[in-house]
Amino acid sequence: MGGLRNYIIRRVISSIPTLIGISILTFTIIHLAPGGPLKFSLALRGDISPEYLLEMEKRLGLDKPIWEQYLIWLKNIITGDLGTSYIKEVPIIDLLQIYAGNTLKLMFSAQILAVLIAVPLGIISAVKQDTLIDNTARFASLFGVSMPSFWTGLMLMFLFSVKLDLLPVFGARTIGAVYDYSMAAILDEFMHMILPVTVLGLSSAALITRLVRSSMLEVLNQDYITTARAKGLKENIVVYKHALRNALLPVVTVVGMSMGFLLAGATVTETVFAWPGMGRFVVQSTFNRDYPAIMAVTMMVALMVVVTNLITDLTYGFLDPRIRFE
Amino acid sequence: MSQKKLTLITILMISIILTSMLAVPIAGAEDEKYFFEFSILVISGFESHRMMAEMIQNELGQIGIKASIEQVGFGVFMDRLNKAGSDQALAVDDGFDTWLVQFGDSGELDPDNMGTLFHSKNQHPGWNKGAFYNGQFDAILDEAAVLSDMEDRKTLYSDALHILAEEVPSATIAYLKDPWVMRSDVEGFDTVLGCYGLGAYTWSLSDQEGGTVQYAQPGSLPSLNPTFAGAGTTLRAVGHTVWEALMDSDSNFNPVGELAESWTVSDDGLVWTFTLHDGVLWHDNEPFTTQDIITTFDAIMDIDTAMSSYYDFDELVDSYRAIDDKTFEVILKIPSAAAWSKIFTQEIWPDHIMADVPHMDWKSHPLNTQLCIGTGPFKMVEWQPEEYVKLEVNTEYYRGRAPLDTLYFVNIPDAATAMAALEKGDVHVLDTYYSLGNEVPQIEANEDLKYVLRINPGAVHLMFNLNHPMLGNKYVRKAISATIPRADIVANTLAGLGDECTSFIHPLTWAYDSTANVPSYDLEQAKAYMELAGFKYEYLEPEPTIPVSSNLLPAVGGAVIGLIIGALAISFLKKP
Repeated sequence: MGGLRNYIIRRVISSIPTLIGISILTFTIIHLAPGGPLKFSLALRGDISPEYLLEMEKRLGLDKPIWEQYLIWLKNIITGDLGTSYIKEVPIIDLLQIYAGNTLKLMFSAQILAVLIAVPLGIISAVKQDTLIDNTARFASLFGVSMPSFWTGLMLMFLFSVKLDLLPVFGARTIGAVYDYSMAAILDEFMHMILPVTVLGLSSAALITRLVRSSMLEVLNQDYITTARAKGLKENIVVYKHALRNALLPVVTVVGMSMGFLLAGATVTETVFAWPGMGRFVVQSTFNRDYPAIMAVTMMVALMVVVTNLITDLTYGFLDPRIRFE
Repeated sequence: MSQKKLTLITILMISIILTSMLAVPIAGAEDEKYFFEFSILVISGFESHRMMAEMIQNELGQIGIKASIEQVGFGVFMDRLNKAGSDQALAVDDGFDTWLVQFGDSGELDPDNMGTLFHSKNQHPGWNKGAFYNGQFDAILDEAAVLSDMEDRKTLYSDALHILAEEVPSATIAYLKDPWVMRSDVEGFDTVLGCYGLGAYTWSLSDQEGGTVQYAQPGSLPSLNPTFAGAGTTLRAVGHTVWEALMDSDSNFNPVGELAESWTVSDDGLVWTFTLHDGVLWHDNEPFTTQDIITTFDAIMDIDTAMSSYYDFDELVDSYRAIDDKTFEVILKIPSAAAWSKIFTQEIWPDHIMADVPHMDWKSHPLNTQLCIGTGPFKMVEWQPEEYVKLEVNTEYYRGRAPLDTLYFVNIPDAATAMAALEKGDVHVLDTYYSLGNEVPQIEANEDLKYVLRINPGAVHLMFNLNHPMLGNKYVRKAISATIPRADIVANTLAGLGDECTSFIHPLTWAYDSTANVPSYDLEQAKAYMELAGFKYEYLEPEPTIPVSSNLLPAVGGAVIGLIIGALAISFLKKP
């Protein structure tokens, strides 16, 4: 157990340079991008005096050299101050509380849905290789991987919301609904989640299904599986106890790694369903050159990927007893 | 003739024809002749602008001008405009030759605003980025600005418009009409609006008293006071619904009173005296007084407050004072007929809340970041950032209560989603920002939906850089202007929702003069202008002495290659 603790501490420490590297890269790129927060918010007024622009630059600290701006940002972030949005004039932390919560809810629900669909489907597909079930599953997953999520989203929306009137079209809840913890409010929120979660989950599920299938096929052809069958073990035990556990290793890697991609997918899904999340927030912040907001979101996503990777690595140890954390 | 010989001859003929055909396009490319070329700078993402630029490009080819189109992001676009303004840079030096843009709603409200684009005092860092200078035009605008007699002003602006029509500092292209798409039961939309709000005060639902309207727009509100936000989404949601100003504009872009019941301007144009409406209450029931205006003006005139209207105030406002609780006087530094749109349409903040707040903190004050309190026909009751703003009718409104009970401004970024929500009845009106011109046939086919066209006073222009060696010649500019296929542009890029623009101010504005329009599309006229500019069309014709020389060499080469291929084919087929 001591080994595990040391391993985690080592991994956490080694992730610090990664995060700093990402922050320097992002900071440089957004400052190199043409325009700036002042040009974007004031650009449509041509008669802004240079004096006024200088005053604004000074106010936002944009008159300092870029390395100094970075160091100030780094000092603030270490002390837990994510800064204030240039455009919205409120602390970024308040904004993240709203947006990040909504996005994480969407992402995790989608990933759970994806795994719930993909793992059983992948197993059945592998066990019943080249049957009708397998072919159907393969076609469905190819379809899922190939279809852009905005298209799937709009099609599902037209079918289930507009034509069949079963689900709401947009938003995270009904406009004007009171946001308490009553059954009605929870149900309302659940109904609003169905379509975006399905769209986001389906594309992820398609990928995982194909991976589980190929991974299972590979394992099912191993000698120890033949031995297990030769011993007279029941097929269920061979598949679920002996084969699945080994086949899941690459799947866990992909599920962990895909969190970053899922966030990218969430941006599209959030736009289609007018879901008030982080994806849309970061797109708007980028258009407005809202530097503190872009930095905060980027760092949060980077941190999330680092943490999910750590969890993925730890999961290996439980799936494969040969892996030791030292 | 044997079958084999026939096959051989056929192969030979085909190979000669094919290789000659390959040679023809090369010969054609060598033939292209034009007088000069320039670039059209377009902001990427504006599909209709790109299409307009392409149509202009095609037409210009017919009068011997080659145009290239450069699509750049907004940031680069602004950088290049500024570089041209500051360094006289042309497109090759990261400035511009021409730029295509639609000016905003407020661009042409008062004819004095022509000066924003064309008065020499507004050269860089102002919007006159193309270095247009005409002393007579400047003098007329300066003179008109200090007059208060509307007839005298109209005469002067007519002269100014004639100068622009003669000098053509920009090629005017089109006026847009933006469709508001809505449920059939929504009433009270004005097709022509002042720029300062949506006119929600008059909206109603045909089948009921009161009721709720949900208005969808494609963006969220960055903050709550338009003087800080500068965003259309904020202005549309809370400008003139919650916040109010001394003045607004009416359907013909004329100044009208809002919080001011009436006003007078002194003969020298310097002293503006406002009489305020009786019985105006803030939404927290405090009375509205002249002190509110003083507190607001104090804040705007302090650069620390960082309101974007600081510059206009600093330039124009000398002093102001309350004569009594209902009378307010402003003395301008210089007479300005456009002062009403620059100074007196600024939203007024409540003194009883803001008086003790340091100006530096106004931007982050809850009135700007959480919940605003105004004097308008609706009260703001809830804001879920990124989702919606909820307004409820102000039953104590001094001009009488609005027909609706509740108004929501909902954020739906995607146009297709917004249309789905409208069809389902989840929202009632879609903003003009969705640009739903192409959906008009679908809307007309659906009896639950309708649309109202909003006339947008801002026009699309092709702005010239007069530092360009060719575009500096006014006859070249006139030729380009006469080459713009305005009617086709309106039909093909705006789905018919617009009008040709041949004037430098909107035909609905009071100073419009139909005799001061530029000629519409006329290729012969354009060529005549080019001749006046010194270009001779004989230059573009193929040289008569060696009429086929440029085609001959590739064609002969093609034939030789064809013969070689044919010979190879023969020898191959001859082998047993």
